[in-house]
Amino acid sequence: MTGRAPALTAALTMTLLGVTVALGGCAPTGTARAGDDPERVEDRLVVLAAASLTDVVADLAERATADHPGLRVETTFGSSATLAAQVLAGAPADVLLTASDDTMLTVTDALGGEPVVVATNHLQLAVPAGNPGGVTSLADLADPDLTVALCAPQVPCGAVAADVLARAGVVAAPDTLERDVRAVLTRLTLDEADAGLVYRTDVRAADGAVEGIEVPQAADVATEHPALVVPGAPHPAAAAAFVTLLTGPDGRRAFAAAGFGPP
Amino acid sequence: MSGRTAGRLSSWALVLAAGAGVAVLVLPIVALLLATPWGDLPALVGDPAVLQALRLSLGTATVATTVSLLVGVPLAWVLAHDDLRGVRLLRALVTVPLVLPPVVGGVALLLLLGRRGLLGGTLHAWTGLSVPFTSVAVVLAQVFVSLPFLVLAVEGALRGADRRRALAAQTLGASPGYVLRRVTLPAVAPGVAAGAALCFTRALGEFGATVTFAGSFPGTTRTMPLAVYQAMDTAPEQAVAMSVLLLALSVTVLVALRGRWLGGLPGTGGRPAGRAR
Amino acid sequence: MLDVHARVERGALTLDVALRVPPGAVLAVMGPNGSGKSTLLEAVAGLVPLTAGHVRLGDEVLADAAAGHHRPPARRGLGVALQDGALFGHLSARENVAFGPRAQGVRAAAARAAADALLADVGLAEHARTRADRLSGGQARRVAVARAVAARPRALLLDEPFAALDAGTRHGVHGVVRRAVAAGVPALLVTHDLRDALELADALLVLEAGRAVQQGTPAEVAAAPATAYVRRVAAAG
Repeated sequence: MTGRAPALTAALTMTLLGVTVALGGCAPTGTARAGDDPERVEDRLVVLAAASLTDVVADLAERATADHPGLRVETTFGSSATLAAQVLAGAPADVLLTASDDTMLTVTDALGGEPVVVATNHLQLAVPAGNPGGVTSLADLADPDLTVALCAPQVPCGAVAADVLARAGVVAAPDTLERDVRAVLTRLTLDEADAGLVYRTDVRAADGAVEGIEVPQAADVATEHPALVVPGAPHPAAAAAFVTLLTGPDGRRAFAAAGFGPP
Repeated sequence: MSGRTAGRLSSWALVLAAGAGVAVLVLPIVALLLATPWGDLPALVGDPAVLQALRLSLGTATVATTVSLLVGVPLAWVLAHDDLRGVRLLRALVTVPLVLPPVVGGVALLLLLGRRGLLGGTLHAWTGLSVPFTSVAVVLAQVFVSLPFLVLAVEGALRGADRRRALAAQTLGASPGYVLRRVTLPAVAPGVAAGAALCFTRALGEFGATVTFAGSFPGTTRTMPLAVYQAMDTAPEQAVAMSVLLLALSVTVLVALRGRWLGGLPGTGGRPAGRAR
Repeated sequence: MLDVHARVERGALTLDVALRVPPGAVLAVMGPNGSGKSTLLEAVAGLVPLTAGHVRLGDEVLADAAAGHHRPPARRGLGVALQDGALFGHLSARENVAFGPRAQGVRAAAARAAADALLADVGLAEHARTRADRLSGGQARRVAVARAVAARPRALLLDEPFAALDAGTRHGVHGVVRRAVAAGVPALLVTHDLRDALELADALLVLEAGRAVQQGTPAEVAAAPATAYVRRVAAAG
């Protein structure tokens, strides 16, 4: 009997490994054929969205699930640059929402597709609730005594921030350069930083933990949020329906409520 | 199934399973090496941003290892004496950072030393000083994750050091201090060195706690792993080059250890460093 | 004077022995395996507690079971060379032998010179610089003897120091012990070879199952063996 036990264990392990590899390699496909019934979408949708769209996309995802019973929407939020890189590397995404046209361009240049702008956004100077650093204007970001959090210049919000600062003639003295705008927001909500530049919508989403200070130069620099049905997506019908939702009246209302500007 | 056939089958299954294990560990490294732009490597590595991250990483890891030695060796000495009360609880506490996800460690450090933290709040109120976003924070994060490695390795070495030798030294008329200096410490020195090397490599590779607690700013807090993370999307060749550099550093430390493994460290299961006689 | 009455209960063995060794004298202890020879040495050294009895060296009481007194081995001032050697592996043979004197304040150069001389006496001159953890078992044992002697102890406890030595080397180690003892130091010497007892010891104690079965000068014991074991040993010598 001693010969069998190790063999069985090994066989089981190999099977488990094999199954895991197979599962990882395949993207599960929808069971419904989208072509049969234009109203019916697949049962699954994968949405990758920039960090600043976290709350509004989550809301709209719930709306989509309510409208299409049986639809499961999976959302991932993060830095636009990271998400774009993932799509280019072949991640099974259906819809991509970025925080900059340039980032979207890197995807459409390689894969094609027609992006649609669903909302616009502007930066805002943000401080923790109570403004412990006594910040009043953009010029305070140059103060070395204040703890300043900004997006890294390589990511969309960082590029916009650089533009705004340049227009204002301010040379900022940041203490940390974060990978996405929500990370900057977190520093502010935790009162680890005195000031930062985040989107107006992020200040809104922080629900009082963060205060916003309007900056005239920020109003001049609009950020567009394009949405793309990823070419070759596993669930094209669901993707198209979702983008339609984003651009439709429900979507506009949701974006406006969150503080975004119209496309 | 005959005994012989079963035996042969189980050997094959064993080989296949082992091969799969090796593949999981080695193939990603192979992929990394194949993707490396070897021709451009000197230029990529010579980039000021890369050198800056490298200097910061080496500097903070060295400080972290030094701090760990100063604090960890005495702690290991305490742990090696089972007869002291509460040693088992102490060892469990020391092991916690080993099993804690580093990000959680970063969050914990933030809750302790952040501006609103348990200690950080008072520090900030009294001195205006704040630990996050400084290189000190980087060192603290590294110490938090790598100190347990050193403590457990040194404890193993201390246990391996035969107490009869310390006793023999005392029968020869040596004071306890003399015994410590000339018998105990030299006997455990190889084990301590191995522990320090492991501690250094772990500190070098630290990411989760650093990025959460210390932030990411070039020259101050953006160590090599953070720089790789940052470069992944926007400058992939630079990320690969830095990854290869980190790999080379880690392998160098491994070779320097030369199979002299660390008794007592969970998972290594080797003999304590130095020969037991 | 080394005055010992040792009763030790250790596992299956109960050791119960009394002995006295005047200064400058060597008492050899022989006996079959498991008779308690090593236990006796360990009890005198303080490595094993006494169930009953005492250990006195000169005016000092090193251990007294009745009074609950037990001086730790480190403070007994005895030169101990047990079977496992317990050398300092990372130090050379010379540094091992010089360890005691140096710990007691002798200058390094003098200590090393004395160590070299002792090592030459035990036939290990060419291994003076060798790391202790690279020595063979027999070599380590000789270094242990030299180390114990070098520290100028008040009594010597040696466990099988001559095991597996050839005649010439044995003679050298005998000399080392004899010279150390001549300075007025009592010595307890465990050996399995009657020749060592005959050449070196003033008295011989034979242990069997933890008790003394015969005592006397080595010559007396060899001439009139009291038990089968002693007869065997006498015949072999």
